[in-house]
Amino acid sequence: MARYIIGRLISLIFVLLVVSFIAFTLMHAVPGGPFDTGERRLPEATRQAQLHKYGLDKSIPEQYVRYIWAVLHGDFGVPFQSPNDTVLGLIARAWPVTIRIGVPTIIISFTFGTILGFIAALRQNTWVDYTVTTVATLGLTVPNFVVATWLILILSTQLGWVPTGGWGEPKNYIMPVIAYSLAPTALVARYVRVSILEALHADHVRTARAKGLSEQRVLRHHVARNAMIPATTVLLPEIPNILTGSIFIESVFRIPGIGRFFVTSTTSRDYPMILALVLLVAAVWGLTYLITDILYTILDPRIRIGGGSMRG
Amino acid sequence: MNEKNSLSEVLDQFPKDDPLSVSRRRFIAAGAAAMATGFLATNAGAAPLQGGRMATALRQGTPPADAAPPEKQLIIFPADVGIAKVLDFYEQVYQRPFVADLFSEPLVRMNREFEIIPGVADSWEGSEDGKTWTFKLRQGLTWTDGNPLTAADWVATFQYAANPEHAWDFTWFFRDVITGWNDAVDGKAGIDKVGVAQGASEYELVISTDVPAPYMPAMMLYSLPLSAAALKEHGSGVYNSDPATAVSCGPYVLSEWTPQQQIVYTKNPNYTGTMNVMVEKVINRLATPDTYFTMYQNNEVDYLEEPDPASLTLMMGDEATAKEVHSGVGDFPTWYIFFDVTKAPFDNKMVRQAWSHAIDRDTLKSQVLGPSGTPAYSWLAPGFPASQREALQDIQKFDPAMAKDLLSQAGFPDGKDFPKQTMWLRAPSPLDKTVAGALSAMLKENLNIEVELEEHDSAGFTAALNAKPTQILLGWVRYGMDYLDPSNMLSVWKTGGRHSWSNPDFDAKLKEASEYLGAPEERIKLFQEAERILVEDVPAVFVYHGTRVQFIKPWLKGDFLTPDKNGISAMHWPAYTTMDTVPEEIYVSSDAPDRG
Amino acid sequence: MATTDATTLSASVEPTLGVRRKSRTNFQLAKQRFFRQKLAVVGLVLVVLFLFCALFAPLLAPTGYADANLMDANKFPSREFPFGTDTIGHDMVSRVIYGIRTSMVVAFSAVALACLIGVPLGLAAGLKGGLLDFIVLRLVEIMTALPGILFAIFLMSVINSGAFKRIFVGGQVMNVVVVIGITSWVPLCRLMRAQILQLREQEYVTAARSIGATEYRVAVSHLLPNAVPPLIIAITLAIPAAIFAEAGLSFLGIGINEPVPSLGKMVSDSRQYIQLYWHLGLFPSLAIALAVLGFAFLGDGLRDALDPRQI
Repeated sequence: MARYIIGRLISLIFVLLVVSFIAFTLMHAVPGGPFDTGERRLPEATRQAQLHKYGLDKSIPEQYVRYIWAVLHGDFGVPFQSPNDTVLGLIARAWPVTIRIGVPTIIISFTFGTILGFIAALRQNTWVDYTVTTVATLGLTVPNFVVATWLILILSTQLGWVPTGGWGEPKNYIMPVIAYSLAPTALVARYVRVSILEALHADHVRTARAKGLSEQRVLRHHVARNAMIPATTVLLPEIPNILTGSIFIESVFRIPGIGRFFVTSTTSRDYPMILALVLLVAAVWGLTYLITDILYTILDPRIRIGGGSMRG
Repeated sequence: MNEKNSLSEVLDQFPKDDPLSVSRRRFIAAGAAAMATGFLATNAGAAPLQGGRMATALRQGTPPADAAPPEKQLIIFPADVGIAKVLDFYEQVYQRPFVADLFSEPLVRMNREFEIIPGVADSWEGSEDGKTWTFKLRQGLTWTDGNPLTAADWVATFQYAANPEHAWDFTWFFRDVITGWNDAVDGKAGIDKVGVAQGASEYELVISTDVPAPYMPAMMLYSLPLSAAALKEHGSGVYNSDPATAVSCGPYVLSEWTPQQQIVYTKNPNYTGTMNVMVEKVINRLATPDTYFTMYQNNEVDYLEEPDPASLTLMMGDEATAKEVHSGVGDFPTWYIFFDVTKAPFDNKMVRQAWSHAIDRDTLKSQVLGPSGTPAYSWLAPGFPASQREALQDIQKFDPAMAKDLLSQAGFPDGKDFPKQTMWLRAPSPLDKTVAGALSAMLKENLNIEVELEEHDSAGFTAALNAKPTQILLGWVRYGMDYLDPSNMLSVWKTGGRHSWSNPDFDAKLKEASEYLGAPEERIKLFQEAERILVEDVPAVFVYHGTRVQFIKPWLKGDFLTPDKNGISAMHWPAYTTMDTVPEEIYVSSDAPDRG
Repeated sequence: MATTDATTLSASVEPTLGVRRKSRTNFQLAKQRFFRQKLAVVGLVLVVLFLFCALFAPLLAPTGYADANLMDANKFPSREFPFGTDTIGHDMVSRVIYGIRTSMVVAFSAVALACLIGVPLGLAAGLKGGLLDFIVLRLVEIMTALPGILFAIFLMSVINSGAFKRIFVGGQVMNVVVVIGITSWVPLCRLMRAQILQLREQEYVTAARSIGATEYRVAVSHLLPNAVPPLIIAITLAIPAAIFAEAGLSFLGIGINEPVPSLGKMVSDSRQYIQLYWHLGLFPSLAIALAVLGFAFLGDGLRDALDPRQI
């Protein structure tokens, strides 16, 4: 197991390198640079001077190598959009904000979702099931920026209960978390329902019931455990998804998190910032998959990891 | 209207030893180009150079009766969080928040009537050949670090601007104008050769130009200096974007910059200048533009400009809020469809003409623009010097029959075989999208041509437009003035300017007009001839002039809303900066709610 | 989901009992189970409705999607314009119908592309294991690690700039399909692989192998049929995800170009007008919501129907 984990960590580093290279190349392939602002054509000399100032006049491979070298020394550079800051500084300020929105979202959506999914599964094909499923699915049917806009209209402009957006007070959490939780809640509810149903009807559960075990014991020991596997595949990745922020939610509610940075950095071609964000997201996802796969083995020893073949 | 006479009357009012007194002939030569180019040739009235009664009252230190106490003298402006990078004009022009130019004052300013009035320079004169400009600076002004404000600050700033290591994004502005500028920018000569130098004393600044430049005073609207001492110490102008190292000689200092949230300016307690501002605190609230209106409705900002059509309709629909809607000329922008005239099918003039006749600007105004714009058939907006809308309005007028006919003659009867077009839009606002959609529908209806609309962000669009050769075949964009002179607006269309159109007649006429030193009326005529060439050749279909709509909360009061001689009541461009008189003419009334 | 053995079992049981009992195929059983669930039926009806809309849009819509009369702009729903008109004067009914067509075309094409990429990769990784599995897993990690939105923005910008215009013919719609397809194959691949991993350890597979079935036969006859149902469900649920992806791209301004209508673009453009012209956002939102709901219920129904253990 330990060997497996170390192996995965090494391959994660490899993945990060590849990801950074892809992002780097793509980024520079997008037309327009950080200095294509303004209304008039700049004199060629000034253009070259600008590129030179930020090291952008060198070849792409050379820029990439320089960048990686700096990163290995912990230097992620200075963001173009904030020359008085550092990339790490910006991210260190912005990510906690996103996480502060993300954690309540995760808690609320997973709790509510599981409860809803349970209810629906145990009352399968009754009106309770239909209602819960429909309501849950509705959370997935409307894009979150639409929900966000309606929320602002009702809760803020009409009723005046909360400010329209911004950051700094507990009140600022309410709308973003609501808007953000709808989709994950629905997702969790649906998958919990399905997983429980599948497990409920599994052979070994029928056997357990036939043996005379109490429903509760059946549920706890036999159903829940096996329901966790597909649930894990689908639901665990929701966590890094939520923790890396939603650009829509953060834009609409003016939250200074990393989600909003994605868009503003891309639009302004802030190369150091974009790369740092990409690496951040890549690292988070890589670690999540590692944890997911480890949990897989713990939950279902039948699945052999690490290269089982048909040699049986 | 006899400009010279009214000026004489005005000038005769000043006693000889008044610092505002200027030699009559020199003043006319220098200032007439800016002041009397047809826009405001009128008797400027008593104390014309001091911005009106209100400013006088303020200068004398009596706040208006309904003003809020100092702790509540606060204005909040929304600013685009995506482009709030630095604060100083001479550090970077295009990536700054909405309110930025408050830490120093330019040589000249603009008042509500778009007249050039003294800023830090209380007088200026140009030489006979128009190539040497001497600005005499007011004395006794200091920076917050104790250093005096002298010509050395301007010299350092201009040299910094020309320095290739700085790579200033506005270097085109002085190109071919100031001596030694081109060579310095291109790296061929040192920045010390730039033609901005100290004159006879440290309170005299001399600017030398390669060509006669009667528009120089108007250009000097853009002359906000950085501190020479701070530039020397920090090596760049970024020092002014950090409260810890910021240095100001203007009416405000930078007191807070919370990234992604807000930027706060407070009144400079050590201010030694002449601007008498009432507002104690100015805040830039950073957000994405699509959230501005919601903030405005919730009193989280006090001002909003260029609203989307829905917000405008909402505000106009209610009697109370309709009073907060103001419409002005902004920076006299013109919105136009442009072509790459070097590529088919737009290399055919008849095609371009057909397009110009297929756009129903009046319906566009009534159904889409409303107060946000007025139909355009030519380049210079009404009110802009040398503008001649009536004379040119038939050249590109709406005439669907003529449009169809021309298209036929060009080889595409009823739009048959006309290649499907994609119109590039630059970071369009909701209004831009609607207008572009309407244009697309009109072209389909009147010419049977399909036009797809493609949105691009600013960087991508600009890169494609400025590429050599340009990559945009068809696009929709605007241009608003940099300073109030026809040479500025028309230079967009000279060869090597913004677009691929190149017309030697136009270039020659434009050059002739820009360097003309004779009678202002003649100068105007020359510019008008140039504009005629432009409009007749149709490198662009001019669609509308933006009339900047602003929402201003009712507790922002003062002379800044007093109608100007054209009856316009709005916060004049460039809004809250030391480049104009707005900061002196605005205060917050006591009925303002608690906010910020 | 051991469906194969059930077929063979019932076939072998019959003659011995000597009773003529109508043997129902698995498909019929599944169909029965499907129609027993009300929500699944609702889903099916919705999906069929939308597909119908998409196929027969020119016949159903009162006007073309680009026909606009500025003088009719911003009208609220009325008898003449049941869904109202938009800011340029398009009839919203036509826009929504054609918008449904665009959404269906984009979603189906994108998901098809995603399947083409993801399914073979997942299958191969799960079956072969070893180095291939390793590579695919790393590929999956890389694709997931690249933030989808960022990747989509990059791809769209690069494609739009004309760098690949010679390869990607077909206009903006094709570009959007390609981008969504490239960014959504990963879940399908992962699912396929996970299914294969789980299935190949099942007893009947061991049994098949022990009687000498070749790898290929095991894959095709035993694994694939059992892996298909979850795949179908995943596809059914990937369609609304694609619709959303397109809406997200439109929100950022890099999706389908006007005047081709896109429900997502209509919804995101209507945000600004929500206080005033509520009808601009309402009908496209409803269309998206119903489409997603329909596919989701259909997918749920399929999943429940194809599980033979449910009685």
